[in-house]
This record gives sequence, structure tokens and C-alpha cells, in this order.
Amino acid sequence: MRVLLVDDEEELVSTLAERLTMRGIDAYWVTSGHAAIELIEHENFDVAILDIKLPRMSGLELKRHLSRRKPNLKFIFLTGHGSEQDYVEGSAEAGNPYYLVKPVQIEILMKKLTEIFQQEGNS
Amino acid sequence: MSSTPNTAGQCGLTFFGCMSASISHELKNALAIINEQAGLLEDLAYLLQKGGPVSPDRLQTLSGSILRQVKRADGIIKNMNRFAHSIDEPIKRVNLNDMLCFTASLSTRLASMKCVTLKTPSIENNLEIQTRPFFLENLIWICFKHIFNAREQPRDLNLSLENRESHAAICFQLEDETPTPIIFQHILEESGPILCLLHAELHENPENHLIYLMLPKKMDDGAMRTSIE
Repeated sequence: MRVLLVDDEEELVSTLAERLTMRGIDAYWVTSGHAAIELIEHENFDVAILDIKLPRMSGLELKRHLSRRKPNLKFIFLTGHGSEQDYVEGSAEAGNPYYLVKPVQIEILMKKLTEIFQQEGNS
Repeated sequence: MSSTPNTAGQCGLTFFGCMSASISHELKNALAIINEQAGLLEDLAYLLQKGGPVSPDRLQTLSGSILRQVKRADGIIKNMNRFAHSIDEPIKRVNLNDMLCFTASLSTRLASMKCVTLKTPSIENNLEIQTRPFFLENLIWICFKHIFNAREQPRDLNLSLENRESHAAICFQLEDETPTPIIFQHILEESGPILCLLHAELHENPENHLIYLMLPKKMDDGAMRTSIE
């Protein structure tokens, strides 16, 4: 499974990618929405894990851009907290099961990825 | 509550809420990074137990990174504490340079979300004024917010101070492409009650893309008695 992580906190996203790699996931990371859009032009991913609050382009806006280019791409959202509005918008956009609040528990993230992987296999 | 607060008290409450949300978000990010790094240490320890290769350099880098995040979180908490105490003395003498740098530091996250780099005065400045510290922070933050929101291209915002007879001025030097009159109008609309409370004035120089915040060096009796509501 190929996963793209997008978060402007470089140390967070690089460490999370390293941990996913150790668990057999092919994980890539970038720190901006624009970098994600550029990367996805040349690379294919199964899942994009997006921070909701990205500079310049929010995670929700980024999802719309990426979905237009790669309609089969699945999404998991991360948020620092969530204001209530973030939560409502993020949940609706991602589907409740795929919305995680930081700090992320790696086991929960792995479970979500496995669910997506199994759904993919069944579809 | 209306979107444009019509009393200084409402402005202050809005400011306090936004700042608290921003500070807690930033803290959460630092904690999230520490959480990942601690998790990675656990992963590496497990790998070592299994006889896998783990370089000492990797562990050193990781512990350095954890320490950096702890320092970052400590800085955020110090700022939060100072911010909370800025309401303790409603009126006091403050070093304007220090106040400007502090408010800039509080606004760093908001700035980075909008790709703005804040350039605070590099020269030590001992310009002191008598003011309401909390509401001055609020007023500077309103200026920042509207300037940040104007464009979403990476850019600098240069800040400087001027000493002018009975007033001190904070100068916001915008970039050439920035629509100064529109920003000026937005700041004016939102900050009216605070400008009134601080007996401060907002001026613009559209040709040079400058916005000035004029602050009295000493609050007169009328300003001291003005009710916050």
C-alpha cells in the first residue's frame, strides 16, 4: 500500500512516515498542499493522510484537488484539535471513521489503513 | 455576538478566544511530534531486541528532536502565561518594542499559516508608553490579521517604531502588491472600539504601502476613565 502524508509540521510527518514504513507501508511525505499536488502528478497512491489545517490550502481544499486528479484515492484526515466546525466539516468530508485527532495512535492509524486496504480488495 | 464587535470588551473576548485556540493548537502539534518520536524510539528498541540494525546517530538525532520540541512547548507555555497576565494591570507603562515583539511572537502561527514572515525591529528601542497592555496586544493582532489575510503568497511584513513628540507609532510596511486602502478599512472597521479606548489613531500612506498605528505616550484622565464594557 502506498500512502502520502501531508502536514506542515515536518518532524511530525517525517517521523510518522518512518513508523509506517517500519510497518510495511510505502510511505511518502510532503509539507504543503502544493507539493502534494505536484507529487501526485507523477506518483500513484492508495491513501492520502492530510492535516486539516495546512498553510495556504486547507486539507479539505487539498482533498478536492487530489480527488479530481485521482478519483480512486482514499483519505484520512488529521487534526490538532478540532474546533467543532473543523470536526463537522472534516467528518462529513472524510466519513467519520477516517478522521483522527492528534496525537495519532499508530495502531489506530494502521487499523484504518487496513480497513481501507480490505475495502479496496473487496471492491 | 455580531461578527464585528461593537465594544472593546467584545473585541477583547474575541481576541482572547482566538489566541487561546491558536496557542492550544500549537501546543498540540508539539505534543503530537513528541508522541511520534517517542513511538519511533519504541519501534527502534523493538527492532534492536530483534537484532535489527539501529545506528546510535539515529537515536541521538531523535533525542535532539524531542528536546527541541520540549523547548518549543516550553516557549509556547511561557508566552501563554505572559499573555494571560497582560490583563493584570489594566494600565501600565510598557516598552513598545518589547510589546510589539511579544505580540508578533504570539501571532507566529497565524503568520505562518498565511506564509508571512514577521520582521520585528532589529535595533534595541527603549520607547515607552503608558497604555492598556492587553488591548494594545489586541489592536496589533487585529492589524496583523487583516494584513496576513490580504494575500496568500510567501512574503515579509516589516515592523518598525517611530518616536513622535507626544505619540509613538508602530509602522506596518506592506509589500507593493498589497491593497493597502482595503486592509486599512478592514482594520479600522474591526478596531474602532479599541482605538477609542486607547485614544489611538490609525493612518495610512497608500503610495508607500504603510499603515501607522499612532499611540499616545501617556493616557490622559479621559482615556483612563473610558469604560471597557
